[in-house]
Amino acid sequence: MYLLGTIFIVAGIAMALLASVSYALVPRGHLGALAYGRFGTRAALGAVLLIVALLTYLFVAQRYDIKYVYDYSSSNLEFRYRIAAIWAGQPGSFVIWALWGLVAAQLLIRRTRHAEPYVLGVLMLIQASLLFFMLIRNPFVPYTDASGALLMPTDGKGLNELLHNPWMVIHPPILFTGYALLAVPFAFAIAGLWRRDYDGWVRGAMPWALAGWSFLGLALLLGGYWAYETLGWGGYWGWDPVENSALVPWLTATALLHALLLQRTHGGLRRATFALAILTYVLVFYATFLTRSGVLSSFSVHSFVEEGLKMLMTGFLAVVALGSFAVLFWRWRDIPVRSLSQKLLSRDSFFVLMILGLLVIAAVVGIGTSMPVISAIPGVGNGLQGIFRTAFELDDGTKYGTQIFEDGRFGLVSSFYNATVPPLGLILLALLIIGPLLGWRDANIRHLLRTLRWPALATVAVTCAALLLGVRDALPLAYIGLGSFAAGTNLVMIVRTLRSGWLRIGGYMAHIGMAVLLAGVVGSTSYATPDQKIVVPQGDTISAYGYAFTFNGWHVTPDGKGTLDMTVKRGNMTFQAAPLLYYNPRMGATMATPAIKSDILSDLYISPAEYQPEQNNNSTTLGTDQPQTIGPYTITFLGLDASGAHSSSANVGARLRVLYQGKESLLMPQIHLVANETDPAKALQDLPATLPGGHTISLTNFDPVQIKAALLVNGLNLPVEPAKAVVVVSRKPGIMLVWLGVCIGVLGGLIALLRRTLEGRAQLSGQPARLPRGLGGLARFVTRG
Amino acid sequence: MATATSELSRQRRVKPIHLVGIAIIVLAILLGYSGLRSAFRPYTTSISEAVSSGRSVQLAGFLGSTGAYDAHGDFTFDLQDQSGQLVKVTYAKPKPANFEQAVSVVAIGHYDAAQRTFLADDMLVKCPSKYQEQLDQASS
Repeated sequence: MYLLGTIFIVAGIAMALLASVSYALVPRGHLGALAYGRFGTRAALGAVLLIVALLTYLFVAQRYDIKYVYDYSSSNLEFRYRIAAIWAGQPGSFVIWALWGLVAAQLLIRRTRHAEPYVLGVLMLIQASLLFFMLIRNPFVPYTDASGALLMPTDGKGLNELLHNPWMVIHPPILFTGYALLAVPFAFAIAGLWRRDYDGWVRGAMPWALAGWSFLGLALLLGGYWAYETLGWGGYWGWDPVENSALVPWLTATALLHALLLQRTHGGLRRATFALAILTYVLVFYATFLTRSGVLSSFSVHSFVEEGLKMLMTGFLAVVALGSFAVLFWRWRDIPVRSLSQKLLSRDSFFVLMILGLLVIAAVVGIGTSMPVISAIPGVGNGLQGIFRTAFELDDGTKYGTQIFEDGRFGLVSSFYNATVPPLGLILLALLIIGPLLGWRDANIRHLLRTLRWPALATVAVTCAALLLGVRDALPLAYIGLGSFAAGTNLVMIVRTLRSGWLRIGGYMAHIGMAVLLAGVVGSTSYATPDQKIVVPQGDTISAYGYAFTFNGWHVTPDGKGTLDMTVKRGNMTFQAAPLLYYNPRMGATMATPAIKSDILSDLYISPAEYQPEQNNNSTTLGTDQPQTIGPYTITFLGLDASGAHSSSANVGARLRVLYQGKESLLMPQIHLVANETDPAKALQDLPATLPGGHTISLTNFDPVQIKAALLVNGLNLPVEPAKAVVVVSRKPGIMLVWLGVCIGVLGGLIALLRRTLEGRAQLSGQPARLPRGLGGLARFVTRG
Repeated sequence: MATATSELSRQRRVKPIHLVGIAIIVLAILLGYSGLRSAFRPYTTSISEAVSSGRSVQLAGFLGSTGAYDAHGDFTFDLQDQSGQLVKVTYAKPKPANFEQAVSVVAIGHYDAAQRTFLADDMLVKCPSKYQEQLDQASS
């Protein structure tokens, strides 16, 4: 299998390189090379499909003699998770990434015409590198011990239980689809620079940029939803480097979409569009570098640990970044500039400001996330700390002092992003209000004001409602006001545009989605109730935030997980909540999954913290020489005594030293075992010892291996403390708006994708782009086209 | 010549959009500066460095004890650095999920001289598993 798999990978790399080299020869006049390029592109996909098939076979057949299968799968895994385990590790995720890239490449072969050799030449080079990374981390390596001897374990280590979640099954493939698709605008941009075709590439790149943007947005949503639903952070976004590093290319991709649109309409912003296409793909690779090279392993909770790709990935990142920007600067002077509208109140100006706003946020988040990497460069971290020391006093309640920390590295906590991103996001929201109403070059102020009437009225109404509901802080109020205003004007634009075909509303829908998303973010962060820790004894009821929580006990679910069974009541509404909390011996960790009760207005979030088993204060389990106080007695367990053994019966005793009112005495409660006795009451008899205070003490159980004794004092009647569930509850208003907003936005992106694809196809066949009106028209258009 | 200079001056003239653009950038820089002041956390593997500075740091070390809840219900444990020095860490949240398995931990917080303990706001637990999906993350 090792040999076969490696042959497939090498064949894939060879075919991708063949395609890339052949395509590179085409512009030099070797027209025959085009056939080789196409063959290489097809064959590379074939090789990758064989890799995927072989990996799938290994996982389905449970070949634990393969290290990768051993590491990520196990025999008790459900079938769907056994499949999902394929992309649980690095090599698997690279092959999925390359697979989508190659599928995109097949679609591009016949749709790019003159640009084909250039676009595919670049694209295939990228796929070759991805497969090369996979070869370094070859997933077909057999499982061996340190000496190199082959191991044949009967079972694997298993998949991380946190990944046993349908959202986590589809999250990585969608993320890698986004990553793979964003390579296409990059390839088009390089092709455009190469061919000195500074406008034509935009048309080709547009649908791919839209698709990549939509998929990346969807992947961010799924990641957030998984964090919210499974991890119990209480939030969907923790500003963790892994999340940030995927958010930054999404922000620049949003900027790229606006630049592409502006350039497509009247040829403005040529240089910026090239720069954004390149920047976005460089950032995609940078995100991979941050999460997979191990550079952030001391700063992030969920980046992959260093697995030997650091140098290679750093090198590849440098080559892609320097190479592509060098191409841009080489052509810089050659790219003709077309001036934009001079008026501030024009779509031109608003597009430029929107792009600037997105880039500024991307820069803040990107630089913040990169701080650990930047400060890890020898000398830089210590230097920066020296500057910070003299430049300002840090105001987290502690003074910087004069000290420079030896390690030099530093990171930023999430308060950095909470302080910077929300005010900057407000600017984007403000731009969304007027921007869509403006003409490209100019705007009629009177028409503008007339259009703004109804959205403005709606905004006033929504803001008043928010004030009545208790929203008092400036920033949330501004978000709610501007957000509803932006949603209003974009809704007006949708109504207007619908007349000329529903395929044109994608952009406005994305804007509305964004406004809805931001409203949800404000609600769920600024107005979530604080986390309240409640301790509920079994059978008892504790109230928090208007809900009554009754704890029914800790149960084991049919699939072997432990759950805190709770009944939650509010008014006459009752529901069962079952947050999971159990120890997983395979992972050696406590697993906790929150229970969430979703409503349209708010979510009730129940995060399990701890289960305290029933505690009988009259009894204790002791190891040797650990004094324990029960009532007036201090009891020390000295050891087990099995000397009283006969042929048909045995006495096992616990030797105890008891301290009572300053006096020590030695005691030995015993268990009397009778062999061949059928009556259980007689087979095991309790022989208690009498304590100095008149109570008796019994040995109820013992562990001869670890030398432990379970003891019970009779007659003291100390209270029995029931089992307790410790849970953290909070209410999060507006969570639904977060998911809804992203879904509306992605849907808008997909509609725009459909429109641009149809336009592109019409243009290829030389027809004027006439977009279909209704769904029936669309069906006719697609079948005809 | 005259038209060329007027063309040039027309392009050089500060337009409203330039002012708005500069305002956005300046705002971002100001926000970034103030954010940096409150969120800056130096990384250290030395307990004595963290104790003597008294400011918020990311302190990386190994587990010196198994950890328990104290009288206030806060989770406490001992953190040990490479020199063998120990410091008590107090964490006002439930025990991090993979704590039992941790090979090393990073505690983000500051040393409180009065209580003689390192007050952690947040903790990263490093486990030997490959994909460390663990998870005691600040809920922002």
